[in-house]
Amino acid sequence: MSETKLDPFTLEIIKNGLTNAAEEMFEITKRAAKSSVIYEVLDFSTAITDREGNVIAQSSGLPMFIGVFDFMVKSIKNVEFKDGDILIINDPYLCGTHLNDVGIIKPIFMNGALIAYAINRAHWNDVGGCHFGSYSPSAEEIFQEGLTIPPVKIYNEGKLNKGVLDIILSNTRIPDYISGDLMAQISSLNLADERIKQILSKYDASIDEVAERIVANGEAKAEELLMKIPEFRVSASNLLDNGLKVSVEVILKHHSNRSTLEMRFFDLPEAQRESINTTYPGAVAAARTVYMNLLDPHTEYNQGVVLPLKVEIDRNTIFSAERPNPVSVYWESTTYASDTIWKALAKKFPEKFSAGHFLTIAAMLIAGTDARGENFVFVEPNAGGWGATEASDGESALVSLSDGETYITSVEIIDKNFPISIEKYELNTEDGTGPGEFRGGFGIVKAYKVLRDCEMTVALNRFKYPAWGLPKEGTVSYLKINNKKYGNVTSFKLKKGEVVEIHTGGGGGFGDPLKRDRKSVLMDIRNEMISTRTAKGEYGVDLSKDA
Amino acid sequence: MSHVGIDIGGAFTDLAWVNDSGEISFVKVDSTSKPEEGVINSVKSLNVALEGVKSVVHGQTVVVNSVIEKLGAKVGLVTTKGFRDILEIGRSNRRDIFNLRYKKPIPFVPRYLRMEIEESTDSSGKVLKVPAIEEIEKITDHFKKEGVESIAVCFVNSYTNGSNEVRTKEYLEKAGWEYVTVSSEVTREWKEYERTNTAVLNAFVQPKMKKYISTLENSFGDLGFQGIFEVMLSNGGLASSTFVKDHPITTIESGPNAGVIGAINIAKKSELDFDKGNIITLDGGSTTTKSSLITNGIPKTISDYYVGRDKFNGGYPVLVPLLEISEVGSGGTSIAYIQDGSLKVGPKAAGAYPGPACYKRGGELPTLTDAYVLNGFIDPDYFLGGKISLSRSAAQKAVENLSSKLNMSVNDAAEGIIRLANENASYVLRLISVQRGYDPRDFTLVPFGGAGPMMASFIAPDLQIKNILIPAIPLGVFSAWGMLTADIRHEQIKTVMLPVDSEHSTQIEDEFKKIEDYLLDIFKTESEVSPTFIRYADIRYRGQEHTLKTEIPTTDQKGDIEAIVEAFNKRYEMEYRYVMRDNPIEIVNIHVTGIIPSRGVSLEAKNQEGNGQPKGKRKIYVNSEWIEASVYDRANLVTEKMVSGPAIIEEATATIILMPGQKAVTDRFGNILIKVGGTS
Repeated sequence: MSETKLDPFTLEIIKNGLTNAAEEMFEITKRAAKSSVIYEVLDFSTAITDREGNVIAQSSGLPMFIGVFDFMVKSIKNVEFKDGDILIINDPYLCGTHLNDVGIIKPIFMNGALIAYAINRAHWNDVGGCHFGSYSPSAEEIFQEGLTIPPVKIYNEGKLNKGVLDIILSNTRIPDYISGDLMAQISSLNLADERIKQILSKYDASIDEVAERIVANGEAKAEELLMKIPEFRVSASNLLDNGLKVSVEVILKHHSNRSTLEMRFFDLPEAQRESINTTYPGAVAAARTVYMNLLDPHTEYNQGVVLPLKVEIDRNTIFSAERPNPVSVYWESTTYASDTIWKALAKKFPEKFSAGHFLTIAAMLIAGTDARGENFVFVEPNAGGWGATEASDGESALVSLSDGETYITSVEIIDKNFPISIEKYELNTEDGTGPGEFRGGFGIVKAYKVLRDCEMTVALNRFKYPAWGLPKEGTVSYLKINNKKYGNVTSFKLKKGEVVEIHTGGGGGFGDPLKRDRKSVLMDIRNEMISTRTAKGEYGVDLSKDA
Repeated sequence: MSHVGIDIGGAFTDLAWVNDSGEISFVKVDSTSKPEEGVINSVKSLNVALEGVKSVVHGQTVVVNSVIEKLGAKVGLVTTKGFRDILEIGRSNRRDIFNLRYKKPIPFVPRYLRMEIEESTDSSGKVLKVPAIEEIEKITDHFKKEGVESIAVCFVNSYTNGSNEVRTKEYLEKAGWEYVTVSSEVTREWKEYERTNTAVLNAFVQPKMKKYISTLENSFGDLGFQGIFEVMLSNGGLASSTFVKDHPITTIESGPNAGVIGAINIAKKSELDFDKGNIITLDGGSTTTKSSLITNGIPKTISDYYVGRDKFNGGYPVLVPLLEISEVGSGGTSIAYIQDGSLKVGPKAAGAYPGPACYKRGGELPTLTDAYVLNGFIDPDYFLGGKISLSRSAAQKAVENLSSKLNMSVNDAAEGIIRLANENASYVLRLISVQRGYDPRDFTLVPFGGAGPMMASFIAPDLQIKNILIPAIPLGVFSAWGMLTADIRHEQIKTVMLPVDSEHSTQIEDEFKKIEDYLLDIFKTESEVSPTFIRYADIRYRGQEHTLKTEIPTTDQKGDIEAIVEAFNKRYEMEYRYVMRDNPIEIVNIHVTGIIPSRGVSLEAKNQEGNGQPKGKRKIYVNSEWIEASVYDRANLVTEKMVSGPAIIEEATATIILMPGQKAVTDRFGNILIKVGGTS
């Protein structure tokens, strides 16, 4: 360990170097991966932590993944590592999210000592289980959801542990894709290994000191931002579509030398034998995303920034499920967790938040065999309407809170690569949105026509209770198949030529619709986003009188 | 016979005039709010009559500014039925991931001007339904009523077959519409949102750009010009002004290209000893630093570009080929500040106004230029050849504000600022070299722009680059000159999705041939010389999405599959450090670049009246100590005499630094080669 204190220039250079290494890991994974859910949807993240698991650099990507990296490292604290080892893990009770999200971790050694970890966590399209795609709204326990991988070494001192790889590839329906994605992840870790060593040896710096300073600066920044906010205590509840209720209390306290922000979930339902659970790390990651928005969304995320945040959840609830409760659709649950916190804070800080959004990831999974006789899985999230703010209408067609820099697949790519044809993709003006002085954004309508017999799995939430408003609520999401509406479907059989329409909901409105600027109402009519009947009924603008 | 290059920059419009014997002259005038006025002023200020000028080459920022400022035509969009909202839905990503009030980029066409038409083409290119004329009539009535000035047409799957779009365009033109852009004539790549946006932006800027080009044509004509008028494209090549009137979007990022092209050509031309095809350019501006990597004298092109994209904003995608140039928001006037306990340099910059503290124009914040002045690298009395007198005490005061907070000496703080700024630039260089599998040690660094040469000698050792080439052309007007060295260049990228196997070899060959025929038609309108074609393909392993642009070697055998597979595997291994030889590969896009080489420019040997002796000495602060450096006037250097660092070579528009151990030699044109070797 070097004894001299790093000067601020060198510290900054090393910090940038580590962030660039994490970004490079992201790029190389994106370009080399075989599955569209990685390269197109970008359902993965990369990070570098110190040897304690403190995140000191990460790529952009999914906020949910960024929030669970520290849990991943903590879960492997007792493993003995040697230089060249690479570890694989997907146990959601240890490191959050679900079995599909497979983490690959490389301990970085310098001069014989473990100094840091490089991590790459990515969504694998199938890890076995009772349904193609390994996610199943109907699963009752985790064993139906696929293969659980406890922390094991897939490389021993640089040598592939073929036995482990064979077990994994024997437990997926698409081994070619999975091995390609795994290769992409591993090559990103090896790259990080090189970069981290290069930069540290160039400046003869100790990563412990770098990490300590990064974390300390991050914590100071968070404290500074929190101190600007007077103490408060707020709470909110949310109703899940199955009738269960979740509640949270958020409390900011200023102590003599620091601040704490407590998020206390209370009266939570027990973990369910149905897919509406998340494990504890997932719920914490969800809380962190809303916390970041409260601080300042452009704050650079690191472990220090989230130190003032305390998340309290009782054991084995739907936000802290324990084995063997199912978690494959965890993201809907975590989004409810963050949404409830968001709801509590939005009333207190309207200028920092917005009204509620459509919430659901609306993940569409269509699987089957293509014309070549090969198995295919098509997975994509869907966009929906976001809530209005005190100064503007909500955004239309934006991915859910738990998705971030996530790209909806291009229609032409779907048409070309899958036996699916997209017949329609437009704003969901049909079901409307939350009215207000500023109205919510619109969801989307997308029509998938399957060109071969396929099966489809979709987990939709807020098909019963729409986005909350300030005060007017938004609209619900649903699937339409042969003129029937559905929320969740699991392995639903579709015949060649059948059309499935997904409708996502509109966001909540802000303020009194009767105060909406007349010009904005007329513009919405001109744009065919609202009908003259809605104009009259909701906004009190009667066009028939103008004539 | 002579040629004129005119380059519009933020502050100045530069003109370079060159004749066949290599004689050069320059004009620098203020840029004007109506850019055509500055251009005409520059031509009028030139002491040469336009009658004898064979060609005028122009680089402009009218198109990109029109998009950024959103000042363009009222556009109507025609889409496939069911896809009216493609432009507004976009890809739905939330780039600013923690922001619960995120706003997407606002579409350039509002919903009431986005009209649908029933038509259909499938993903294999088969037309399933042609658009009905009656429907188009209804749409044009609506557009007329709404005052639409320019129409864009983009249909789903038109990348495979644009005939429905073309049919619609023909009708619209017959109906009297002057400005109609159809997506398949601007790009043949898939992804409907990106293609629609590209077509819409073309439609948005077209009326303005057409008017701009016509005004210049007329004014040049009035001044006696009878030669050809060419415009710089985003791909680094030139095209006739007629082509650009129809395809203005192809010039959107042409601004930084001229320097890169100039660097390639000056390297080829120089008589110094280094590998002339492999260079990395370093364009040091006042607010940004840009860099591009060139192998075998050929720049790389990309087509996934967004206007206005940054860390927190999505930006607008534009699918046109452009030179791969990476940029960082750090330049000569970048501001240094402390944030969250860390020191940062840029992206905030002082610019020309209020400028660095040492300019004494009202700027009080410390900038990179202030740090250079304080540590002796810039002579405050000889900045821009003495045109601006700098204040060392103002620089000192500004940097002291920072150094006192950091508990260090003012010169150590200045050195820290210089190191950080150089590290920012180094990062860009690593991004385009190491990260892409290229070893910077195999390249020569070619700096230009006001701040480039000063950074080069710091960055080169960092990346173990052995040679730095300082062009003979005055570095502050290098771009205007560079433009004159560009080739006429057209290219097309087309999504084809074909497996690379013997079964498809004829089809692959046919697709290449089709593009070459299409390009030939364009070239024929511009020149009598026939172009040479370079074939590329964007290839991937089957099942992957991301492709690698691979040059397809020309072999005797038509559609040589083995050669394609081999070229791809080699390229893949270089990029990702592994290769999957047994995996089948497929071509997503084919890409052909056609080139008619530049008429060529000559360099004039400079007279050797100097004595090669330094004009004086001054102290510079390096590694926390003051060392003495010799100061040379660039004009005084002679070919035989070697200059050894530590030294400073000054010219009117830039300062060149030689660190201890670095040595410089000059060729007869005045190019300088700095040998970096030996330093670390």
